[in-house]
Amino acid sequence: MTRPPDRIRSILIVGGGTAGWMAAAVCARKFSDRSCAITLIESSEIGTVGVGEATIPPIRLFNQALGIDENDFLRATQGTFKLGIEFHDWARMGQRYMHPFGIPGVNPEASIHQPWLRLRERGDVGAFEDYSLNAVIAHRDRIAVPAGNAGGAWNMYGYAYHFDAGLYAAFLRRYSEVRGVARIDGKVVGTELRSEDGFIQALRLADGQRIEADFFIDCSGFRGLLIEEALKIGYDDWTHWLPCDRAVAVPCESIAVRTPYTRATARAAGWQWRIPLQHRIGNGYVFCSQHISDDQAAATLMANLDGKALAEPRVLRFTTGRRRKLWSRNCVALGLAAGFLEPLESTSIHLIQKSLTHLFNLFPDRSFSPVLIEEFNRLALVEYDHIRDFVVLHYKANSRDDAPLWRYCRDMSIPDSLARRLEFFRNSGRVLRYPADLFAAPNWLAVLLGQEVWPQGGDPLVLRKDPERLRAELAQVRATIERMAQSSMPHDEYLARHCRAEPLPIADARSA
Amino acid sequence: MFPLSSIVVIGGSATAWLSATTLARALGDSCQVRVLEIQDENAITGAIASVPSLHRLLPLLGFREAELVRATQATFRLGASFRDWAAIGDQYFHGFGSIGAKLDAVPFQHHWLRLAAHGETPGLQDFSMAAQAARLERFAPPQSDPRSMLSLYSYAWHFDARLLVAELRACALANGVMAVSGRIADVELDSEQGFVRALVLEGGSRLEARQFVDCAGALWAALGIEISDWSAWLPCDRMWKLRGTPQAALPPYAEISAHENGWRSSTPLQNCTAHDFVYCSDYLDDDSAGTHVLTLAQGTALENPTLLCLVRGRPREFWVKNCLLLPGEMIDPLESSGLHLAQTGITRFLAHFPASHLSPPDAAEYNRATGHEYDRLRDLLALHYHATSRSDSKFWLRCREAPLPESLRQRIELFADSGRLTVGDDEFCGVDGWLSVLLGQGVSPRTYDPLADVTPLATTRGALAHMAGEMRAQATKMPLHRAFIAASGAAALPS
Repeated sequence: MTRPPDRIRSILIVGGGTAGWMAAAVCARKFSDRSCAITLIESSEIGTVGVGEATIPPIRLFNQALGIDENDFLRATQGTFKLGIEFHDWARMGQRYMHPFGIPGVNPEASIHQPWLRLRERGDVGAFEDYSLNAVIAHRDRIAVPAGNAGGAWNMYGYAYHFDAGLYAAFLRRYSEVRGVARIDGKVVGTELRSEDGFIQALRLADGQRIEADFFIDCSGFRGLLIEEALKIGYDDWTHWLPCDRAVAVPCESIAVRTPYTRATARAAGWQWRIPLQHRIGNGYVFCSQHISDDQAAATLMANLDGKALAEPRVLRFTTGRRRKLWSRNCVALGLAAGFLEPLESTSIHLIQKSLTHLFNLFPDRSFSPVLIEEFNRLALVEYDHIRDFVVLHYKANSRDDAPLWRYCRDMSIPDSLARRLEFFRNSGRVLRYPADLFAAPNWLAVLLGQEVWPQGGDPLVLRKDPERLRAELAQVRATIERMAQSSMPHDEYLARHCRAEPLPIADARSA
Repeated sequence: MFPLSSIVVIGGSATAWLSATTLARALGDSCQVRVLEIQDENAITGAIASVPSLHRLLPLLGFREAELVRATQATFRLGASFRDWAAIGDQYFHGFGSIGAKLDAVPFQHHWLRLAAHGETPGLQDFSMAAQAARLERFAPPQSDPRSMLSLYSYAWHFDARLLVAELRACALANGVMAVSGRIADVELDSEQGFVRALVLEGGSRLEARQFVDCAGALWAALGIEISDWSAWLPCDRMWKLRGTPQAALPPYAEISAHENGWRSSTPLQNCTAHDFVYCSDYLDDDSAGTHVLTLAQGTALENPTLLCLVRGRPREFWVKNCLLLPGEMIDPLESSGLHLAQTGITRFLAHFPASHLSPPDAAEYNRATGHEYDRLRDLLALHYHATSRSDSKFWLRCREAPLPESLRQRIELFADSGRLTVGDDEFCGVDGWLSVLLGQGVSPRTYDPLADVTPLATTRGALAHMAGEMRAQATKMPLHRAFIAASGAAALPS
């Protein structure tokens, strides 16, 4: 006999960075009847680490589910559009490629990479990204914002955003507070566990307050105040595969044209990001401290900015990896409290979003059934593993010979799941798919081909076709893309017309 | 040179012809496709039921629906009705398409379970468009407009097996497939790698090919195929088939009833009613079972019944050396998965078509994906036998008590906690199908998604009542199944 759930009456979110306010906003939206008291504790004394200002297309679903208007959001966060990521000097010095969002070609039923691979050696078919509408218009600093029902070849197009994560958190704070989320400015100094089962019972704040809740969401950042310090869940360290352990970040003045894509440039001891926002450009150098000092890394970064630096460079330290479990007892960890993967593929905010989706698909009642917790951990952990593999691929498949980091990465052992993918691709140019893969075949292809992993064989069903016919088909694809590109418009013009943000005082523009 | 310039498909069943045609159309003149017909013609009888995935394949093979329905004396299939499974006297419908729709972003079953927890019990199948139409013996094809209730279901077909095989065979020959008949006397292996080089037929002729596709289990012994044993969960290993005269009613579904040692079904066709009796030979001898199938036909038998053996398991690997095994129609046909498994098996083979004679990464991935597909189907079938309160025979006691496969145990446990289901999109049966079977077999969740409680109870009650009412109204407007067949030109000429 089915009975009503024994409902959770209160949720306490610890930490008010991007993760904390994303969680608060979703909780407020889901419990629109205010049947569950939602509280967020953050300390104005503790700074937040603005995780990843660049995103991937599913962020649009997140905002849509909250009922957020795109232009309001871009105005509030100094946001810009993002059609992909351009990689410089990764495969080898002087080489570049784009990982565009969307799907190459103009027909979801007709994959074009096998015909392209077939004709590549004969020349005259251009770069693989010439067959991506995203890449073609991004290179022209143009964007398109097709109507939801545009359909047809527009289904092959996709976009995300760049935005200021601090402003996004503030935007979601307003959203949440209007919908009843209570905010406490305070510092957590202690955690009380229930003696019988080790569940978290209450938190103690520096000012003496004691706050109880049924359910806790740990968004406290790297230290993992609840999930690690209180519940001691353990951490899987992935430094072997991803040896970078620090980043130095600095914002600089914006330039005339805002590129609708992120740029990631490989450097001797890591890589540099460049994220164009409306009011500035976010920059950072992710590096491996074994190979370069903080000062040298900062100097490299400062020497490679588009405009005048707007602040002093700031160093962050991290250990790449993730907690062994993201949900234990009555506590779920999100964001940096859950794990860290460098922002090479802009997945930090996405991982928060995915964990929230899984959490609300499996939202518990006060019996906290182990079967729900197990299922959540299974689903949420594998998201991290897939992204790890995708990021590792960029390091592994390189032909740089100029620095020890790159030689190490080329020779290092890789996770079996990635080794299988690489072997599979090298054999036939086909992309192996795992269930629940965030990055689909087009994403893997862009990076595999971009990193110059060339397969030995091809699809025999394509090889048997007449090359002239394949060439004509590819030309047709490019013509269609060119026609569609006519309806794009300059990125800056779109921003100015629809979602221009007010300039911010310099002091507020400091965080990178 | 094209890596596989010749393929021999072994079988002669619907699966074999369908596979051969799919290969011939995809490979064109690069590859010669032959079918070795080893099937005993008498074994092809009764009905073949399909599932909606066949919609994707038929146009690729060049079939037109109305013509195929007419030529095969077919009927339309909205699902199947299951009787006496959870308990004697129980009934549920497993229809194609969705059950209800999300409300406030919370999946339908939670709202339905919530009403049940409040003592209100509308039938689950009131929210299945397919079940509503089936109950009234009505049928019309669905519509594509997602706002319409008529977009919420799907359908497939029941075919006369003999006529379907004839149609598929003719289609294969028209696409350049060659038919060879004979019986296999010996399988000639390449001494180094153990690849099949040729089939030696009775009479001495040899049939060579680069690749073999085995739809009949003919190569298993020669290749030393190991079987994953499913007999603890799927005990049935025999099947009697019998054709009886057509019945007055023409429901757009088959009736599948649990029996003390297995199950029996009756499937309506235009020209006959197909009676099947599937059972476990540990508890019932073949003669008694044969007598039983005759009683099912109640004196309307058109011919002698035919006995078939079922495999209670799957090969550990499906792509072994240069042989592809397609055993889909050899396993328990409770969920009509035979054609579907052949279709996905051959489509997957084309997606992994070997770039050279040897392609271990492709074969490994093929085996992983196919093994996963069969195991999830096994779970669905095992659920029917396991989740029951029947204790009227040793057969049912054995089914209830066998420890479950781990993947099924986890799925049932998650559902039994709070109605949650995680079903991969690569599975034979989607979330809605699992929901029908889990609830139909009496798996009752402890509670439901707490977020369902956020919607005011009156709103939920109203939305569900409206949905069921609208579905009933739409179903009532459909023509009777029999009338639809006649009006759409799909009716066979009286024979």
